[in-house]
Amino acid sequence: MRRKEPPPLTLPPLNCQLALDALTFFIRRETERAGFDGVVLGLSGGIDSALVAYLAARALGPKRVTGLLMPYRSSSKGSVADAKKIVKALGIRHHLLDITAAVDGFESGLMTAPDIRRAGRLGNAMARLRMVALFDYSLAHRAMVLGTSNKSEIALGYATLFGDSASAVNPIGDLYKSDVYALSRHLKIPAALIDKAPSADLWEGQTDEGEIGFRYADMDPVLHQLLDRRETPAAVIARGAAPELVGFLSKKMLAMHYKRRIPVIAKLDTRTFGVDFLYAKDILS
Amino acid sequence: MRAAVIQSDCFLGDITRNLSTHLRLAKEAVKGGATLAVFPELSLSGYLLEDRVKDIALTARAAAALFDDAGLPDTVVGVGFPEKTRGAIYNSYALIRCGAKKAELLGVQRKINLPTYGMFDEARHFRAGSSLCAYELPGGATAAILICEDMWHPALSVSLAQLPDGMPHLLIVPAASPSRGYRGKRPANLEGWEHNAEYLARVYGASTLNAQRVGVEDSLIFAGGSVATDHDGVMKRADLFKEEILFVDIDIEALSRTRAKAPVVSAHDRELLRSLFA
Repeated sequence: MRRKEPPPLTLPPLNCQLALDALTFFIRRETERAGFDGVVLGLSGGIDSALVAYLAARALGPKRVTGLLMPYRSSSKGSVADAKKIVKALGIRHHLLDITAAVDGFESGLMTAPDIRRAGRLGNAMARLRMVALFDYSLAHRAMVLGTSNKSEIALGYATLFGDSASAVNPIGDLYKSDVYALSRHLKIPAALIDKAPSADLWEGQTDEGEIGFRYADMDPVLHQLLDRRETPAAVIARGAAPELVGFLSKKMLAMHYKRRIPVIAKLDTRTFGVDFLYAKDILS
Repeated sequence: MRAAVIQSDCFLGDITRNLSTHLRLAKEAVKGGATLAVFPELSLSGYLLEDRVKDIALTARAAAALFDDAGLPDTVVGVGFPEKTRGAIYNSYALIRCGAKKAELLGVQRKINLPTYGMFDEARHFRAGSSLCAYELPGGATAAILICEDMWHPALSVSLAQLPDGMPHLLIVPAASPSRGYRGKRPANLEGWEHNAEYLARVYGASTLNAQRVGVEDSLIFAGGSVATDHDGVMKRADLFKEEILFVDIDIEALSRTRAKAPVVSAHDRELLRSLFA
């Protein structure tokens, strides 16, 4: 008798309507409870920030949502055009803030040893300057900064620490990239944004999947098994996943954990922030 | 009698503000004909209290006194709160009889099974309760309280069924269950709650009133989805993501007839149970 092939690993489909209801409820409550008038987010022209903009507009109404479009000199022209499509489709507020001059200022005034790992450092600086603009807007306009990193990126640590990883509240951080696509289709976000290759858009031709070396469609079912189901790497490989993919993801998830922790404080006294000073952010004094 | 299962939200750590929500909703329940209004677990304080527990815990007597002059005559309210005693803090639930003036404490149930897995760390902040009993409500119906996790421990319902008067008529199940599992028809945690409520009703012939919290505390989304069953297990469900009151009519005569027809529980052989548990 021939042995049956194991069923292919798949990510069980998200119940999009249910997730939509939960996330709009979440955004509404968290915005109200924190005492903000509205929310602000960086609109890159990519699908993650587009989805967050759609969720926020549903939750709060478009007038309480602001998108900051923050291109750099080398950003693809299509990115700004795609971000503008979102602004127009939703009727949200927006500002076009070109970060080129700020990045140039960083390069000329703040960068030591400019030749070492230059491209990556400039990419980080761009992400962090966008963060600066978002949190500055937050204070000026009483708008809460919404994060736009998805669960796949967070698992891989595919983000700039204190850059795009920084936010007050992230509604999509527990959705895999595949879920982001599914929910975006459910919300009828323009197909052009869904179909284009995911990219950090830090330099010409950059794509997530080119840089990471694996496709989200292959990574997400494996991440789901390792992360949510707590399957062992061996068990996931036995179910047909590529061993190099499983090895890569299981290592990366822990290696990048430092990006998910607030600065670690050396514990000396009885109660230490981040260790045993235990309060929810939403606690009322 | 008519009971109201109240799916309420609250402000984390703000008992004064939450009391006014309780009064507003209890009055609405009374207007709908209810004489019993049950709120979710830790309804007066919110769930994710952590280190704040010590600062806001109150005695059961003080919790009852909050309902003095509440304007809810002849109404029993069930409310969740962090209970302070001389030496400990419990995750408790009080049945309070509101009168024309002074409110009276009918009983307090302390949560027995404090979850410490996954996102939960209750045993760090609360001491576990160690007793379970039934309370008689005005009008003669009896009720026991299974706080959240306690509903999932069959030993507790089995032991309730061994009480001298048998299983109480009502099982009040206050809960604050953070929603998780969005890949099915309903949040996966709620599916479990519904199955359990229906199971308890069908097996024991008890009306099961599961009041779920609705709201958000940091990452946790309490989706609501409260359920109320009659003694046959016929279920009413509250909507998700909103405040709601579910009304359920409890007919003690009909309940007794059902239990007589299918006396599953009364047929338990106590000696056998004892030897099985030993």
